[in-house]
Amino acid sequence: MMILSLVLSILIAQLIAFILISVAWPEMHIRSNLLLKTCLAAGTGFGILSCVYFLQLSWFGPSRKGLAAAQIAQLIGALAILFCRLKATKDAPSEPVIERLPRSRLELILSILFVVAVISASGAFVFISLRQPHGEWDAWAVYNMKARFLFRAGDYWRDLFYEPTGWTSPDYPLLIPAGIAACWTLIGRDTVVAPIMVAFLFTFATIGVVYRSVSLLRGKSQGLLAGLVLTCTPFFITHGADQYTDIPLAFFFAATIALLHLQDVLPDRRHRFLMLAGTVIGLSTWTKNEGLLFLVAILSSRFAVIVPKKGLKVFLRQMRYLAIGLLPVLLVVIYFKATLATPNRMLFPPQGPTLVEKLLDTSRYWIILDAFVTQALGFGNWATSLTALMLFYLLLLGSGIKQNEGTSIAATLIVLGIMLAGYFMTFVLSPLDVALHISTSLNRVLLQLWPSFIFIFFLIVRTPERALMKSGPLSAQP
Amino acid sequence: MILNAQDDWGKPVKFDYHSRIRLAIVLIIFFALLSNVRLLLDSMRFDLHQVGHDDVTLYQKRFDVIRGLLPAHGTVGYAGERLNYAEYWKSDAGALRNWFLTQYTLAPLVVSITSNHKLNIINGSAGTDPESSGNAGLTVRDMGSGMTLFDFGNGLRVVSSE
Repeated sequence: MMILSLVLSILIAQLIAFILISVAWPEMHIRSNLLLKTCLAAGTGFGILSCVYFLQLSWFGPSRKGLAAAQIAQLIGALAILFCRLKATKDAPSEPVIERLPRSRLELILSILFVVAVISASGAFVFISLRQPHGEWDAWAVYNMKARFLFRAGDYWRDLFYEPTGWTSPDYPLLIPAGIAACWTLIGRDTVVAPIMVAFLFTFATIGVVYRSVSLLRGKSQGLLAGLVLTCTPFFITHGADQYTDIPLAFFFAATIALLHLQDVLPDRRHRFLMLAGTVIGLSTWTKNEGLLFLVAILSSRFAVIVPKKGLKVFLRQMRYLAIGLLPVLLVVIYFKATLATPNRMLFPPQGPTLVEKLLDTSRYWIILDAFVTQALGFGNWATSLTALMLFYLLLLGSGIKQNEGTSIAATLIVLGIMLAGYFMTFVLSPLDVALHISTSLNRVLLQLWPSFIFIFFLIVRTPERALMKSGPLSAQP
Repeated sequence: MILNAQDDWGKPVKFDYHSRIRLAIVLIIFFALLSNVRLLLDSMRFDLHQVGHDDVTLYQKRFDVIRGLLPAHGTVGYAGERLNYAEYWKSDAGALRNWFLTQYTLAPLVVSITSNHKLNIINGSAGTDPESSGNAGLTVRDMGSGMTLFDFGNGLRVVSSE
């Protein structure tokens, strides 16, 4: 019974998000891109639930009935919007039906292997969760502890931000703790099953987003290969089961990048993918502080590629649509930072060398660079060096960038570059012992970018069908 | 373009473009699935009877006996073995783990390592204190100056001051 009510509490949030995503989706058919929309809704719905719970807690105090009423009101509102949209598009000419190409043998084999891999990864996730139901260190020490605090403290929930709990990073945004506390509030008790389910949803929704968006842009075989590589990255699955927030953040990063690519490539003059991307970026800033760096990276990269090619006017118009989705969530983050969060200890450490001393210490740069290269080469806990294997794969199949996607791909590569540079500088300025800090967190921050990297890698590399169609080796264009 | 190699029998092996493409696809699928299977097998290597008896769950159960003494909210003091109070981040990982787990267990109480609290939890190892009963029985001792020590015999003690 408890599991059922927990599933229901999460499902309602996701149903609301699914309806809103369907309304915003350029094709007004509920069933079109069902899997992609469902996966996007899995993370987005949880994020919206978290925001609503936090605002309710801040303004009205804890209330189970109040939260349930807010959920029902949102559901009714979303259904009303859907009804209006369906009515408005009823008389519009129906969109052309894309004829499904016959399934190739490769596609069939890949489909079977992908399903097997997802089942196997799910099994591994369940076994790890049974072994450590409270998650790993950061999960129980920070995120689940905060969720317990918010849920159990009643009117005293603000005690969480008192100085004695400084080690819990009180400046960290609350998407995961508040979302889990919201689920517990709706079912009336705290149980370890909620954080496990949330971690499961984010892990497998990320796989779904990468698989379906690459499929849309490059065909099913390429999408399946991308999904397979992500599903079979052991560190991605184990870290998901560890219940760390790096996986939800990776979900929001990958979803943003996928939506921006869909906006750039698929014809949609109403910029609906941009609005959705705005919301997803906002939710990344509500997940971890790295989300703020991601927001800056997205804005900078779009500016760098759009302004020279299409002009400032187009850039500003795109940003206006992005802001429609972004601002509501960003306001929640600003409200949290202004009213509750304490100063960031990484940027304003109470002890250790000064900022300038750390910036001028060249030995720090070498230590960090060495760690980045070492971690990159052995990343993912694959049976072999994944980096070397992917490089080998790219060299043999060659690149297959479509002419209309150059700008979009360049923008994403700039985003990933800015993120890596940002992480690098965070280690340079770290108040902690650099070697220790790197050993405990570098692989995690690289994992945040991993699904986005796989997404862009499989957009750059030629598809198996195209590569096999060619009679000779590499050429510039597919 | 065709790459030629010699096999064991000295016969040239043709390794043309299409074969290389197929090899690349097969390799990436093979290593992906190998990593996937390895993860599943590794994660299955534990005794299912241990479900619900993981270290965090067991650690939390130790605190069941002291919950009645603690307030519903507010701040309590904390003292643990090998904890560096002046610079806690330099403490032994095990000591930090014990403190953070105590905070996780007792939330929404704030478990602080600062001084001047009416209630202080002393988190030691079970059985190391010769004065503790060692059989999880409660011993109450008047320490004088309005201080009372509650020893739960499982390594946990609470000092209450008026």
